[in-house]
Amino acid sequence: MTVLLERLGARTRRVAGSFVYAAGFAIEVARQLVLFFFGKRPALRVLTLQILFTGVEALAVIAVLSLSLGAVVIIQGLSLLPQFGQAALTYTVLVVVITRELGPILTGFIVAARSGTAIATELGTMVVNREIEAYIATGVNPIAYLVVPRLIGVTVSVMLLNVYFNVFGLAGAFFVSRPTAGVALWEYVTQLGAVLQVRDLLGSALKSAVFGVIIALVSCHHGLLVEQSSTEIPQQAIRAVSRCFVLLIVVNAGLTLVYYL
Amino acid sequence: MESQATTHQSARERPALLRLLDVTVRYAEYCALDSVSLELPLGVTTAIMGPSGCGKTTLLRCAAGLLQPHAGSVELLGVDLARAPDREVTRLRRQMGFVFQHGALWQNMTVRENLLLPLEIHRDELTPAQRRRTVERIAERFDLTHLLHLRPAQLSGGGQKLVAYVRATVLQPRVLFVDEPTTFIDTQAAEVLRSDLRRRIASGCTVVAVTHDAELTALMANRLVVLERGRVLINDRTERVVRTGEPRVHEILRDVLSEAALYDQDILTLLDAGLATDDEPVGHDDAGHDYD
Repeated sequence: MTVLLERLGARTRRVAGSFVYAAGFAIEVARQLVLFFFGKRPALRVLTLQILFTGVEALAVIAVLSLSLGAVVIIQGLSLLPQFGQAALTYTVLVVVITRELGPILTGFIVAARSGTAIATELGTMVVNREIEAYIATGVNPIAYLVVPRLIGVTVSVMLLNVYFNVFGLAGAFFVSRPTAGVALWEYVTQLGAVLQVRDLLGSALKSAVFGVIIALVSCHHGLLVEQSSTEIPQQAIRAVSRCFVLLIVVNAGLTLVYYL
Repeated sequence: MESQATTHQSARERPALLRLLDVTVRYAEYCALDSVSLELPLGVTTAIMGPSGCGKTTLLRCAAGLLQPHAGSVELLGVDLARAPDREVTRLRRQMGFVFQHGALWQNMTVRENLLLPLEIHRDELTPAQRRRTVERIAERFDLTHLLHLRPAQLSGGGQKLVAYVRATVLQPRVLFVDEPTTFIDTQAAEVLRSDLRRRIASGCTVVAVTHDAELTALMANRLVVLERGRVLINDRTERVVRTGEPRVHEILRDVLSEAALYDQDILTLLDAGLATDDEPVGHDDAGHDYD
């Protein structure tokens, strides 16, 4: 019983310690983020590279995924909803599924899988190779130089990729609805415009921004948690991605709830 | 005991470069530094020696504020790096360089970018063209011009080490921490490096080196710190260490130095030959004024 209590106490201390560390990390990132916009910005190159990798290089994957999902949603909508006399809801379903839900969350998943692992792995490798210490020794704050540009880069990329996902998702829906249901382009655009509200677009943008922040912070945090051994790098990368996925789903549920309140 | 007395005497004579008080560092269950208290004066070249795994690199990282000890305090040039405000730490970093054992070059940058970054951070009064010219001039001195466009991974171990040394010294630091500066590099490059170190020491740069290089130690170290199992065995002037009655110190020096370089020479005789003589090199105080 004593052993059990000791273990429980040790585990509680460890978990509490890691929460405190994560909170301290987030506060320092916020502080350096403010300084980034008002101070010198030698990290602009890192920011550019991050947007290039996270945003530009993910375009092809996002395009294929969103075109296919848009097509699937419209096919299901066009075939199922008329059976219940709700054909008019097809476009509403399309907006809800593509714009409000799938756009932000799937973009978040793709970025977490691609860039989240890359960030955690890269920073972990830098820790093991003492490159982070080399930054500190040179007088460069690693949070300012490595974390802040990644935070901005990933957030901007997720937001832009979400817009891109929406455009391609809705286009994919049109490409399928035209040959299958004979929907003309003008009719499609008019119907979509009637149900798509500014609120939907803002909600989608907010979600993607929050997801971007989560992915960047979690990935950087786990990358920097690597201590000495290269075997810790894949472990932390896996933890980063799985934690990103869980957080994205939970936060998405919370934000959707707030949307309907 | 003798070493502590000398340490206090040195502290009265010249400003302290480094003060470690009861510093303990643990890696899981392993104690790398065990309540180490140490004071090194400014303007004195110090060599830290000891068998593998005795805590030399850990001591150097603590001294430079790169590793937070689990207990104890570290002051570099009178500043507690763990508690000082950012601006103070940046000011201090501008004055120090650190050469890592394995180079620690930034792999996602070219050699040129590795050398440019310290200038971009600390010499913003220079135009980008002036910074580039500075890097090219220094690279030429070390015969690195042909490597400037390469990534660190494309360099040999020795090349990386040399670039790491140049990166650490590109800002002309007052204090230079070097971890095994001459390992992995060929004889010619080692000589270039030694000669540059000599020039820096002569112009007032304080060097603290972890080294197994007998020649380097003999030529430059005015002070030796010998570590064993995370504890300081002795911290004194080189000639006093060489003449100490402690057989364990002799044993370690013989092992460490001869293991690395000179197999057939009597290392202690070399050290004792007066190549590294007095504890009185040229130095300067915090304001940068020369003192004797």
